[in-house]
Amino acid sequence: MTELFGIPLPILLGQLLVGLINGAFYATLSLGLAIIFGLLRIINFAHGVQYMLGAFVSWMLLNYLGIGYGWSLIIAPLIVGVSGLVLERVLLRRIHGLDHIYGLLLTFGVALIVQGIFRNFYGASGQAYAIPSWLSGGFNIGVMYLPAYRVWVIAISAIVCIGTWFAIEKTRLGSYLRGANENPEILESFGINVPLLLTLTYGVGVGLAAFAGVLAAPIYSVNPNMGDNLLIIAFAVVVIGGMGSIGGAIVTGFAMGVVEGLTKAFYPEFSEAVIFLVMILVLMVKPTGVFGRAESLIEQISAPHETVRVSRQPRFLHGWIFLGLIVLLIAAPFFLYPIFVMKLLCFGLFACAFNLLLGHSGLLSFGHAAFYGIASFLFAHSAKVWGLSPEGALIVGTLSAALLGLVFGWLAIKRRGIYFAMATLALSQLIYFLAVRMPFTGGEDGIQSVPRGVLLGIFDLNDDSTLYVLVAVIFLASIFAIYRLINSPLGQVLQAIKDNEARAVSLGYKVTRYQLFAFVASATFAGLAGALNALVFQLASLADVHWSLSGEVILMTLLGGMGTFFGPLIGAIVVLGMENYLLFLGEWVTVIQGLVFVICVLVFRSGLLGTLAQQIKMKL
Amino acid sequence: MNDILLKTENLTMSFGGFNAVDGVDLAVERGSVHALIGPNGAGKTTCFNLLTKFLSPTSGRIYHDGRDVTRMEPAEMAQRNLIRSFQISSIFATMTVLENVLVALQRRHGGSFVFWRRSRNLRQLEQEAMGLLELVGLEDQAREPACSLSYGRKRALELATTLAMDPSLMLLDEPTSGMGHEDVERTAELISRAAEGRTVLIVEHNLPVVAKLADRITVLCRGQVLAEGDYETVSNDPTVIKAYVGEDHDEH
Ligand SMILES: Nc1ncnc2c1ncn2[C@@H]1O[C@H](COP(=O)(O)OP(=O)(O)OP(=O)(O)O)[C@@H](O)[C@H]1O
Ligand SMILES: [Mg+2]
Repeated sequence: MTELFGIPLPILLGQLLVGLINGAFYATLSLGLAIIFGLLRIINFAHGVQYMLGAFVSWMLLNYLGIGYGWSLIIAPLIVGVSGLVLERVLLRRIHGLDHIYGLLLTFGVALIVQGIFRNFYGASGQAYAIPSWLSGGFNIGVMYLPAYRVWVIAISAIVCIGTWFAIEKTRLGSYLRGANENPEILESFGINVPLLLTLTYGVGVGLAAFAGVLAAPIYSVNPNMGDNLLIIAFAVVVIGGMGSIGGAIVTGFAMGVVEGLTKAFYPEFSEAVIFLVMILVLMVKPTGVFGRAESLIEQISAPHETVRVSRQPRFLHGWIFLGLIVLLIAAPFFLYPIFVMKLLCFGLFACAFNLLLGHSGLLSFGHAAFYGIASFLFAHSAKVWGLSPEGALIVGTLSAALLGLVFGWLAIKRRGIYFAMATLALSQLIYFLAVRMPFTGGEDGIQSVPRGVLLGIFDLNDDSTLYVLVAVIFLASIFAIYRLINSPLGQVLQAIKDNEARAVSLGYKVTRYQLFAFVASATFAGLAGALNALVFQLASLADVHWSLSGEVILMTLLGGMGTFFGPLIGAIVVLGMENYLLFLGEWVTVIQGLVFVICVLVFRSGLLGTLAQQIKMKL
Repeated sequence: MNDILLKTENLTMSFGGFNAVDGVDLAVERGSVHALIGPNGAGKTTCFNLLTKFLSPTSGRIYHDGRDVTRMEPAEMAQRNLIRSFQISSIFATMTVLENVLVALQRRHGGSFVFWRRSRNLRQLEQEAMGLLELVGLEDQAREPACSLSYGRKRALELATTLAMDPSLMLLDEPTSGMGHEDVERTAELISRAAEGRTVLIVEHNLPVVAKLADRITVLCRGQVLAEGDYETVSNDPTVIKAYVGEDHDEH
């Protein structure tokens, strides 16, 4: 049999084919993301569910209406595209001109809603979609068998991608699109309806995602989660390619598919991670992305600022709040399950640590579950397998998060704004894959029955009240430390950078150093929260590293009020309370969380405590 | 005989084929007040962005204090004691007026990585900051949030923050724009006092202010140097008059 580098040729070609197929999906999705971002400056987090919708709509067309694949290729993208038009008109339009992160959060909320609804009706298991008869079969080309459908997917995606590229780069329409971004006033004066152009562009981007979904239906099982991983990979592709260039998105998409396919042939265990590793390499070597241009600082100079209402910091109020917190901590176990209170404390700390970054440094990390999770796993492993004392295991877990924070921070802070969010999400997904693969994490089971042990050889933590005291003390000390940091000279610099990065630079501040410090501090406390959680529940599981946890902590912060210090604590209580007491609603909880996201972004950006703070004109 | 602090050679910045700054040779003498004037869109702000490294030039070189700084980071330029202000008022909006100045002082005196102390404890700095605020007439609003100031007062605050860095070279982009008549005079007075022992490069549309402050003037038009000299020479130069009148023509 013919071999190449020790791999039988048919296998190599087979993986190459799979790689090209995946590449076709990566290319189509990142193309859609790039088009939408190019014009609307929104990272469309709903892209994954819109891809899923494409597959589902074509499945429904077939099963409910008897409409076949050929028509679905046209009708499904149209239907989903129109839903995109409505979404843009009704929701996205309202946040036009606000900070980019709101677009990301809003579409994330929409994604949760749609996904929750589909999970309710169709469960997580997949529906099958048969390959249409006219595309079944294949050709034997000697070295291998080529299934016709796969060839079709690659060919039609390439055609659609190149067609889109041509329409945007080589026609009048494309120059309008570019103009609408740079100089909307001039374009309007030519009689072009710019808002309509924005809406249509969003529809086209969404339609592309749905089109990919239709193509995917016969290959993968049609299920509500089918877009999750793909979306995160598309984000990684976008970070690798840089979003400035439409052609770049297409080329990078196909290239990454091929890289992944070849890796599967040579080092199968790396194949899921390889795109993320390429992303890390690109961040190290050319942070702007292969086809990207440097984002220059002058864009920051005239960056729009939401009008801010600032209240004074009252002298003693915060002291009283801390005192009240202590009283609450003492009283709480008499009214609530101590275990539930400890869960609240872990998540409260997690949210506060996260807000150190989002609220006080202006950085949206979408990968904080990685720090929470790695600390949780290393705590569990070192307590259970190495037999470390609880204090030792807490230190190991927390330090691991700090170290990971240093590495991820160093990589991701090379990119600003929205790229930062995507890079952190992709990096955390790498940790998730590692957690799934590495034997020590126990895979789906996680690490169970982690011993609580005896603290300092004196306090037996198997006693729930002793454990409670420990968790409460660590919680308070950490919250106070974060509070101190925020109100320290360093915290002032972080605030200044958040307020006006260009000015901070012009005063000689090397912005990334301060942001990296905040990132590491935030990761450290997030890790401490994760380790505590593993201590309390005697369990470390994959849910601790999953991106949906990162989404949850964002929700807590947003809901509580990201402009405040104490808000995330309230947010954590509300979100966990919701999950706890609405358990009977099943998947509808996801839908409710999505709704809360959408409402917060649209009309309630100050959050619960932020609104209160404005009412009483004091900082909280 | 003349000691040049800041010098550019053939400085060019091209935005997609359009040269906003086109082969500019500029030389700013140490200790002088040098004004950069010209009609709207002449490339003055772009020049500032190049000199402070907020933009990287398409071609050409920049020398500061005899050293080639063409490829330096913007924060490094500031650490070489070259501090700019912005055309659009640039403050830290959610912080108080006093904190705005403190953040600048903190950079100069060090201690910005201190995270374990309360920032309120920086008493010595606070005194110095109050002094600077008095200089620009903001001492009564020290505890107000900076975003609550009027536009003109924000500009004054920006000037105070710039002065807090004790810069050896100040680049001021239209420091009096948006100010009322009285504030303009007061600011011009302040700049002329602050210019003692410093070098200043200033962009200013208010010609009386330019006449009062500037030792030397460079006129920029369409990215190129049109004329250079003292106020007398420049204001009588026919090409300069034509450039300004021509611009007026376009506008009406
Ligand atoms: N980032 C940019 N991208 C594209 N063109 C730019 C950019 N910045 C400036 N320009 C263009 O360069 C030219 C010079 O602009 P600049 O702001 O430097 O002028 P100026 O002399 O400061 O004008 P003004 O007196 O109005 O402040 C203008 O035509 C402007 O449109
Ligand atoms: Mg200007």
